Amino acid sequence: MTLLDKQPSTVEAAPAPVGAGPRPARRRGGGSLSLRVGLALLGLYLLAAAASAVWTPYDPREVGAGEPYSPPDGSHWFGTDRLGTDVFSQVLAATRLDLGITVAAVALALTVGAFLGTVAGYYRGVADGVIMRTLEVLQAFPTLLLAMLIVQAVGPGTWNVIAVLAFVGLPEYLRLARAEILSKRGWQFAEAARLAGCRPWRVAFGHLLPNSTGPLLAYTSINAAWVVLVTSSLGFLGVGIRPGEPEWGSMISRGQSGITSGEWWISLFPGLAVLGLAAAFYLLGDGLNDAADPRRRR
Amino acid sequence: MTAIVLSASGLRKHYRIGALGDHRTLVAVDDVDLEVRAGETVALVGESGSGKSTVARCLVHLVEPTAGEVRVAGEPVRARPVAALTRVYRDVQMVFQDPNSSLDPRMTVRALLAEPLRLHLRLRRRERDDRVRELVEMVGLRTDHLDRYPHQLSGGQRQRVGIARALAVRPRVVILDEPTSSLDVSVRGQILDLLARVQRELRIGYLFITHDLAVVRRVAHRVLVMYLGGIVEQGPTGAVFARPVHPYTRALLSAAPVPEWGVRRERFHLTGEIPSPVDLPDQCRLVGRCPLAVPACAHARPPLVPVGPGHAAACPVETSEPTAPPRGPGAVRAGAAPD
Repeated sequence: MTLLDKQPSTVEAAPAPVGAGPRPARRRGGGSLSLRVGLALLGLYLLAAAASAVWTPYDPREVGAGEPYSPPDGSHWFGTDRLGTDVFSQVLAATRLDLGITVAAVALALTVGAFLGTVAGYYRGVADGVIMRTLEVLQAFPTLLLAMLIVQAVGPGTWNVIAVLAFVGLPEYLRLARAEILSKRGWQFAEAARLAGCRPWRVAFGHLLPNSTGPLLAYTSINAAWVVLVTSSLGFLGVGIRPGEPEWGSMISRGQSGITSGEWWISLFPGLAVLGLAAAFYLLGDGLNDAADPRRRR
Repeated sequence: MTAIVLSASGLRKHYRIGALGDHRTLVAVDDVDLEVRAGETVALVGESGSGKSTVARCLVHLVEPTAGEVRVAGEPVRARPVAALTRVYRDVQMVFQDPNSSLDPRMTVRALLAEPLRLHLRLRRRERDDRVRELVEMVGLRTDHLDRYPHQLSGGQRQRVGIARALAVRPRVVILDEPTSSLDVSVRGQILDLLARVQRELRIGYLFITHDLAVVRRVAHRVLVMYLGGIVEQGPTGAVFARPVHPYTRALLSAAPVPEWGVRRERFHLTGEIPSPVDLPDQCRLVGRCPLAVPACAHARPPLVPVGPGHAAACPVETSEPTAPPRGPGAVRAGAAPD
């Protein structure tokens, strides 16, 4: 509901999104409610992100696009901030950045985590020991704190933020992949694959990993929701994202003084955007478990 | 004489169990020798827990044997280098017990059959397609099964896919690990016929692992009887069924129903249960359960002693008196040799 408020009416009737995560095609009855709502929400965000690349009502960085602190009205749907910059344009432009960071960080964490987890789970031995002990050291730190520390250490910049968020999210993928592979490496189809001519690495990555994607994919959406929240937290704290970039967290931070003095719209709309995207990913994760398994397809 | 396509000598598999100063040894496979010739079916029988499947897995090094040598088509099999072991699988293949779990659930029948052709034989796509069609026909499936996933097939169809997959590379020997035990009786016969037909056509050697004596009688040329990791009797199927020598074989055969009216036979009973294979002393494995046991049985593990042409048993009591009258379990008509 909050998102529909936020979106112009042209995108409201958007069809089910294309290319949103793993394709939900061929599922009985079109999937659960949470899956459909999650996909629809995510679709709106994707549309907003795509639209903002070519068009926003005002330049999201333009100072004095309207009167400073003007409340939402017909010409500035989400109002303007202290410098008269259009909040709606900023929220739209920030969608691209926040969603882009999220997708990139999740994809990176998934790939690297699945790879290392498969290595650890299939080959066990020394590789497993080294990987798991390193992981345990990393996991001893609170994740947000760790992310902040590393971002401070490597310096600001979008790619650094992506790398750090992927790094911090990686352990869970690694554990999931390792557990799945470990439980399946003795299965007969893994042995049969050896007989069919697969070298061990091909058994691991060609047979075991593809059969372990369910939990990994289900976790991507949980992880994505978390990345959305941490990205905006970092933005809010002014860590990582360069100042001046339209980013939801930093927008909330810039507008927070207005909350007590009556200019609620500067923080509220980016806040709702964060909330909506995180919710979309959580809902998606709820429904995703069934989608990846061909045994449940018709 | 036809070539030996699979042989093992002194095959052993021990597992160390227990922890922290309480190490014990579980003997899963204890000094097994076997041979399979081209075009021959050798049955390995024994009850659950006797180590039959471990033998199968040791033979192809899916489980690393503790000791012993395996040869496939005369060449010794070694675990390393991995590439060399993979190459051995062109000559020795395996059909697994449970076709539900031995086929990758995410692969279509076509992909499952094409995989060994691609990896072992490096066939091009077009040749692969032709071979896949051939294989599907050979095992009695239709080409419209090619695009199905394993879960869309029946148990019998899945096992046919498993067999086709094993035969895809034209191996010299196939290890069949209870290939029919998870199937309906009606399907079982079809699969056995299929295996026999393929064997005639391709002169493949089979090591047929089973606990089903009716199946053994039907398919096997020779039979190896396994008890607690070791072979206690071996010989031509007809001879073993007609005149089982080892008390364990006699008990096993007398426990199986005779499918003929009016044939009665004495029952031969062992007492107790199959013991735990942990820390076995050096004595006859059957010593606590055998009604014929003498003190000598507890002194050393009896070796296999010839009792007839190609027939040997590991029982000092039964093999020490060559003049003893044959004392089979009475079903004299049993054991018509196959072929």
